[in-house]
Amino acid sequence: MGKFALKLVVFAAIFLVFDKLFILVAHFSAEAEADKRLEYLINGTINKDIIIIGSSTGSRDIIASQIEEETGLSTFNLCYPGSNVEFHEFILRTLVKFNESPEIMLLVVDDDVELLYEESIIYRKDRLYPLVKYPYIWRELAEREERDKFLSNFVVLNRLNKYNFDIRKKKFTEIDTIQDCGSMPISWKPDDMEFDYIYGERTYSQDEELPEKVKAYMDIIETCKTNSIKLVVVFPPVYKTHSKAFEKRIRELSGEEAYFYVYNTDNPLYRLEDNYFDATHLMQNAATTYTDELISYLNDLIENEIDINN
Amino acid sequence: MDITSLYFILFSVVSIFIYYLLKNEYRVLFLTLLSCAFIATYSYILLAYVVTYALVNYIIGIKLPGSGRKKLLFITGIILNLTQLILLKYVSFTINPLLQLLNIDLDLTVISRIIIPVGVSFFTLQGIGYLVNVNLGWEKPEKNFIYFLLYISFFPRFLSGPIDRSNHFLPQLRVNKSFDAERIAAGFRLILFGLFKKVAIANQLVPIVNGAYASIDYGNEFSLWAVLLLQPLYLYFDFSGYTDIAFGFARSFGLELRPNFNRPFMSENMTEFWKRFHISLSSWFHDYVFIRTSYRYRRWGKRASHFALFLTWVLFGIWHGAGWNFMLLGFLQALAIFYEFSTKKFRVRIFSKLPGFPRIWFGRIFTYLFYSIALVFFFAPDINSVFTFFAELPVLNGYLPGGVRQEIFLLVMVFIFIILVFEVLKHDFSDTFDKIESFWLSNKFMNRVFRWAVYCLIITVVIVFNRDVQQFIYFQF
Repeated sequence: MGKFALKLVVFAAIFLVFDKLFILVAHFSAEAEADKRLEYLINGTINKDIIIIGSSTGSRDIIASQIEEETGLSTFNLCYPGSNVEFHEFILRTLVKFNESPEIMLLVVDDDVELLYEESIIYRKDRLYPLVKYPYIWRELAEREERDKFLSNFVVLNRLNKYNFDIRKKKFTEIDTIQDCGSMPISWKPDDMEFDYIYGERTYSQDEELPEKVKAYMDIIETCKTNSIKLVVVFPPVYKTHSKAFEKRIRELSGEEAYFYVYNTDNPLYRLEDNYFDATHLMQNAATTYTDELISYLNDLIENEIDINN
Repeated sequence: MDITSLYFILFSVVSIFIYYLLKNEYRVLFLTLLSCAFIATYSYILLAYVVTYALVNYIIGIKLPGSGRKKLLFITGIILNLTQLILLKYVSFTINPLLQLLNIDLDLTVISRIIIPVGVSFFTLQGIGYLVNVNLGWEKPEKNFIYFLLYISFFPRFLSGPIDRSNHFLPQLRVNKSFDAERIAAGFRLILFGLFKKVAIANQLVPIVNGAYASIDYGNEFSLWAVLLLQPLYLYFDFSGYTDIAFGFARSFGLELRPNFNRPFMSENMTEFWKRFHISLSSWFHDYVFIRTSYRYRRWGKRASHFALFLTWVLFGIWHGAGWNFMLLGFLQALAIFYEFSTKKFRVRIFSKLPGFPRIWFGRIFTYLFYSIALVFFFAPDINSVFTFFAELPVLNGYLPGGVRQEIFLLVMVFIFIILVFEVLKHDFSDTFDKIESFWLSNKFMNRVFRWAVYCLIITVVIVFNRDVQQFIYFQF
């Protein structure tokens, strides 16, 4: 039995040596990424005055460079299409851990599924995997039970997933091209894209909220408070009536710890189908107008003219 | 506890060493305690239930041979076994509609919600098989309850079989087992290979097959032809992966389980297919239902076999689940076997004129296609979805459901191709294959280097692919 056990130990030792070769895969995997924003964040190079966090609506509808030009405050967009509030919380946590805290953070909420189950917005683990060479990242994945933490400590393979092995240099797709400021406005639209404006009062069911999403939202508020960041909750335009019920719920949750900016619902621009890529994302021209409106609000905020209970 | 998890593997490997360090007389007790601990990870209530179930069957088994009312006791035992199976698995299909009809406001599914009937379909057949064996005098009743409890609850096969026979399993427990490094290494190899089949192949096909059935009623257009052709492979690699893991652990403990798979895609007809696929279940139904029924109604002549055939396969279908689709799944198998049986002479006359190679491969491909179609009844959540699937089938669309990336899909196809090529070589060119194998084994150093390199690669793939834990398909039964 001893001989067999020894053979197993020798094999385990050889395997552990073999396993260390995969450090290279982790390294090349990070190199191959096109979207470097998360890596910049971990490397502490995103030291900006204004940070935008959210999902695709934030990345398409708000142009960070425009804010920077018109307010004079350095601005960066850290919105990830398809991400949910738990992922936004992770981005904020990473931001304050490795970088200087921003003065203002714009949290772009998804109307009205921010706290509900929604298939299309998830915790974007696929954005974390390419960066598993950083212990902070694989520990985060382990925390989310994606990987066994104990094993990940000494088995490199356990930090990787199958997509890490695709080390071909990634390129931005036409729709996912990220500007230097982190924003991803859309300037083209497929011919067959058609959608109708939805009128009428909208309801919101608090019972359907997911506790983990509510917790992530509350954690965002807490992190902003702890790090003296002015949190602005942004309600972007959608091709339907603005949900006052959802806005009420967000205000209720946020208490007195956040400012709120709701798009100008009276602006007819937001009722024209041509200004939308789809029902929840603006085309670049409309995004410019919307960003301008947001800039006026931010200017007022910077000059302390806005009451937090506005 | 998931049997593909690292902790299960570590738990089992450490257990194997402890097992051989123990004196022989304590080993069965040790394995029984391990099995109880494994079941307890699902639910303590389930553990209590399994122990009670084993105790009832154990007592009936002990009482049967000398009982004055042997027939009554035997029938009581069978009824008890079937009743608990119905209560735990088929309430919504059988008793609840009856209660509704009688206007009784009672939902008996609460029982299965409390007990969590994991493995019940498997251990019930083992319990029934044991009682039949003892009743017919094919074996003596087991006197040691610990041994009998282990027969029912042996952890590597508790969740999804293979369905063992008491006269196969119990005698092995009385054999003194010495530490055999070769056998244990062979067991570990099987575990590794099983993990590879499950994690690197079956789990990667899950989004395609399940994704298609989950959204079939919403009118999504998928390449259902791809799903149709992939589902036998998915089921095979999932279930045979589990079986290999179970076999590997059992072998490491010095126990052999009944075979469950024998290169099923080499079958040239459905009769042969069911002698190669899920063998432990099909042979159980053959021995305990088909043979018993044919014998009982032997006076009917040929019709007895026909009746027994359809009864066996419909019950086989129902064993998989409470639903018309499962019943039809069984009925289709019966129909195919009936057709093959009835037309055998004619087919032999026609096909014997063809050369061997095209004849064999025509049979294999046709059998595969038939099984692919039959599996729609297996995977579809209900009978309406079966009809929707076939209605949507003519829509050809060039992408796979489930958002599977093309590179991963191609890699999985390469894995499948390699394994199937090995199966063909082993089956059709066994002499050449054996010669190559013995030549390769003759160089011990090269052989070890190559083997260890392959193990490292397989472990690498298993670790990297083992991200999304997917339940084994047969876990639900």
